[in-house]
Amino acid sequence: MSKQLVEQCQQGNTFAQKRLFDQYANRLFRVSLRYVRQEMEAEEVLMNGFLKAFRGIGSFSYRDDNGLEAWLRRIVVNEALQHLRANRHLPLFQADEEAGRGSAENQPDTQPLPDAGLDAERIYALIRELPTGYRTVFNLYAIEGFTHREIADQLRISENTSKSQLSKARALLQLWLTQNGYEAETRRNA
Amino acid sequence: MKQKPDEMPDEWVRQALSQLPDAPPPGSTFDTERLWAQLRPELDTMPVRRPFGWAWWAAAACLSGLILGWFLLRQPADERTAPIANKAVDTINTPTLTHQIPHTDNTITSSQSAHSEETNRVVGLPKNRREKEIHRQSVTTSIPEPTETVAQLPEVSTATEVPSVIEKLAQPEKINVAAVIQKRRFQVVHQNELRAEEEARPKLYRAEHFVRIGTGQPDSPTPEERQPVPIMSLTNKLNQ
Repeated sequence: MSKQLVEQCQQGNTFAQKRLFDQYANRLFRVSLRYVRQEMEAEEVLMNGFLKAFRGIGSFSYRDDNGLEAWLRRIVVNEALQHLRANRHLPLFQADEEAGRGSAENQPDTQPLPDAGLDAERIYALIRELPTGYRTVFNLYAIEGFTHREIADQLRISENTSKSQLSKARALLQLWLTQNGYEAETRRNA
Repeated sequence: MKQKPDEMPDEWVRQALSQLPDAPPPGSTFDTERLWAQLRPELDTMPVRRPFGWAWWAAAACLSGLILGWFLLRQPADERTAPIANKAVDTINTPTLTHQIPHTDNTITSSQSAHSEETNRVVGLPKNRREKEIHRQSVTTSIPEPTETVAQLPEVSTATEVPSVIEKLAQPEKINVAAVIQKRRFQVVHQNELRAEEEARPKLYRAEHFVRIGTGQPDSPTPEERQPVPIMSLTNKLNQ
């Protein structure tokens, strides 16, 4: 099904492009929003990502749906990093200052979730509240699966900086989760 | 990277995020239709890169090259040498024409029959060539006789003789000069072949830098065997 969709997109079929967009827009918007805090910026990142995807889909060889999603996700992540770089959210040395503001005393001002049972939404919201440097390294390492060397290359920082940013992000996130009543669960899963 | 037991497991976060619904986060104003409406005009202006588009261009270039090469190879040799042959014809005909004009003048003045043939030839030519020929004759010869003789000739006789004259005149013009003129043939020969030919050719040695010793005949005595020349002492005076 998706293979035909990709082939039609490769031929420039607008209907196929619309279907592909509808299929992945929400998921990729969430990815974009994990890197870029503002919704408008996330929409811009997503739009640029889809433009690049449709422009380069001719060179994409379809294997399965997971491969297609990973390819689209990688494009959006790269676009988000480029956006952060362009808007001077990077480099990450400012993150330490931001971390001070988001310390244990100052809890993240997350919106109250409609359903307390939605752990995923709560964790997602907490990740979005991380400082930019912490959030970027945590997203790239813990969720996207990049190595510290790859992160260092992409963000133009040293590996040690990447490691320290990650450990601080983990510590802060764990603290917030503990305060939200997730301590027992996380330790049990560990 | 190994994680300590008290560290937050990344896998747990990853699993939690994978359970997120396929919808924008709660409280978000994200609308796919609105974003698509913004994206659509950009897509229309975007050039579509079709897979292997370059291959089509390469194939088309190869095909056109093959067709052009085939066309050039199939072209007969006469057509290829036609411009050169035409040039040769021009260079050959130009002096002969200049010689012919006084020659025809002589014939006009000498004999009436030859003059009538010449006028017939002029009449038998096509209109534009006939005008040129007449003009040339009038320029080179100051004698107005040819026009008069043409007027004196009976029309019937010229009309009947025209086809034969045309045939006679047309035939020499149709001669393929390129075929008549001996073509200079060139052959591309490797330098080594030329050297080999030179080496195989019998060499003629010049005797400029050689010195001849002896008479060249086996019976002739060597210079050592010759009779010693009698030495005359310088102080030998007959008077003393």
